Amino acid sequence: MQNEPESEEIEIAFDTTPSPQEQAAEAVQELEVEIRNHEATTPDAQHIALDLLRLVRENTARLGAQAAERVQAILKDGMSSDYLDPDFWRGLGMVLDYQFKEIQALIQRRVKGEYSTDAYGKDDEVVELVRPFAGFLYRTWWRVTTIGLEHVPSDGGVLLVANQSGVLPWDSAMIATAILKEHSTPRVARTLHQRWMSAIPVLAPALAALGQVPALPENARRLLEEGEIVSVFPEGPCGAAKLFRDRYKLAGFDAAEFVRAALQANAPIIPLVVIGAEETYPVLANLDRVAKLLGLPFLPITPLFPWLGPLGLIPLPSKWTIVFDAPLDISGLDASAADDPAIVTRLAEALRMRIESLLKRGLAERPSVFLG
Amino acid sequence: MRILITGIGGRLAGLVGAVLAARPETHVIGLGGSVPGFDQIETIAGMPQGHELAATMQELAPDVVIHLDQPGEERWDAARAGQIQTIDLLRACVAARVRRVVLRSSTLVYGASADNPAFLPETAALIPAASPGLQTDYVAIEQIAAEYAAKNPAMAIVSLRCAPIVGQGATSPLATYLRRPRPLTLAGFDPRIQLLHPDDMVVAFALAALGTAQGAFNLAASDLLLLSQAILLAGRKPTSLPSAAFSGLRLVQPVTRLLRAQLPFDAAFLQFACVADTQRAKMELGWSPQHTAAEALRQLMNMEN
Repeated sequence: MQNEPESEEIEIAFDTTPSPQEQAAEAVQELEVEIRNHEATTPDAQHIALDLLRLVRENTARLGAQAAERVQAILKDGMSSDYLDPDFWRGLGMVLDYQFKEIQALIQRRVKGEYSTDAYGKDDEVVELVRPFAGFLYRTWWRVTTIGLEHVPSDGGVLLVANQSGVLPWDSAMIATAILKEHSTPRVARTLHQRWMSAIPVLAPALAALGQVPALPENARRLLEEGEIVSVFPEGPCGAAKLFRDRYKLAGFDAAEFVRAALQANAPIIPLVVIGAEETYPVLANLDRVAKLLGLPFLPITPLFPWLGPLGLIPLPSKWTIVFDAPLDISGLDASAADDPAIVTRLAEALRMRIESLLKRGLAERPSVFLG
Repeated sequence: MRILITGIGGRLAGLVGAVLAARPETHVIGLGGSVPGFDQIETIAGMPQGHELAATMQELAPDVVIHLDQPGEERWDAARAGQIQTIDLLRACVAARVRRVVLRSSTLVYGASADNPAFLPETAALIPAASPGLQTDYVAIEQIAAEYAAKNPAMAIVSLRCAPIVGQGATSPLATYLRRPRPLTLAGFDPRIQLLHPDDMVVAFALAALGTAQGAFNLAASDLLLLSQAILLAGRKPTSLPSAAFSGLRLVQPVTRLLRAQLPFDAAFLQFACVADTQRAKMELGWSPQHTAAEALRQLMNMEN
């Protein structure tokens, strides 16, 4: 048995040519070093350029040999390290676009069906593929500051209750990323997504693959009993379609069903707020009648959507803060409290007030919407 | 204990009979066929109907009746016949003072919908399909069974809601669908599905006949597959149709019509999940599935090659 590792080592020693993935990563690293050596006249641009290259490098590690060779070719052909030159950004855009398509293909290509998902449809391979992108958005795009992660216990079921903002569920993705990147024991938080999303093609299976589950109290209770972190946005469909002038005002907030689920599962309830996500898609108006015709719950008009087509879906790079608060006091309550409407309503109301005051405080302390 | 099994000519019913007949305390009588190679099972060739069935039941005086001569999924076009037969059977059972009746049902009864919880408990509402078919039949049969159970507390009725059965000797709408060379799917949707291996179903029927639990039980293999994954595992290629999601648009009606003609189940099953929680069967019947869904599909493939 002891010989096996040795023979492996010998094989590695003979095979000195680096894999295409390693070569591509090296090429990216060279660029990174060059950029770092430039005198930073515009530190922001340099910072973003470096972060994007890091994303390219992380993606490359997950791609096949052929794709890595192609990445390397694009890097060698068209990229200078001059990040003030538009050509640099064009080249970077090409690489990322290519990698994004490859990853999509990789997800679709698993044609033999020999992969596995968990009971809710979560596919860990897909989660792994998406992680670098989520990390980039967290780090560079929204420069998320997370406060109070110590309130989230390292094991057992936890219910996170948050304000809802932004038309697309980026807020839930960033909450999950915060726990994955910054918590002492990283876990994949399961987001309860709006029920209507299960009826939207492409979105529905994608959310399921990422571990999201429709927002039904039954699902919340089950996940909590299985010891998962569950995040929920109890504002209902009106929450996502909030107009810009109504930002950070809770719309139809009703957490009673989820409070009940948490009591049944004996899980702590943690209020949290996301500040900054309302500005990602400033909704100027809602086309209710067109939305009804298309079978959608709402159709927002933003400064970019639908005017720029799919590009209009790119969220604005506001500065985000995520604040996790101390859990609600449910000491002395057991599962039977779930059947007492008075207790449930009182807790749900306390939750709403906590979130409202967290929002108020967070907004007052925010120096700027986009900077920072 | 005298156990009567209807539809004994079917492979699954024969296996249930064989499993039960192997026990010393049971005497198994089969109606409607024969089980070659099993002398312990007393068989009667024909399946009596109506009054004749009541008379046969009185004469045989079974303690337990397992009804497997239902509009099996093999004959899912045999619409109402199954309901009338179930009413006849239950009436005959009450008259003959049968203690226990085990019926075959399907997880189809919950219907596929965006509002379904990730795991449907037995208490979830039963939804008839938009168009007539097996789902609607099973819902009707379950309702008849529930009425009889309420009126006759001395007779326990068990209905076993089986996930689509895939394997030798049994078929289900899903198995029919997976056997097509290019099963149709809806682009942009890929619901989770459950399957059941025939052997696990047989064991569940035997446990239900011998046990004391009553009511409905969900049965399914412990692993879940995505629809597209099941198609691939069955060695087929999914054919995506433009999605009918934007139901407000008239454009999709031809698609819906095409699907209705092509599919052995409601088109909603291509879009949404209908996944049943099997906890109750595990706790109260002591049942635990031995075969995974992936295994059942692989066996189906090997059989066909």
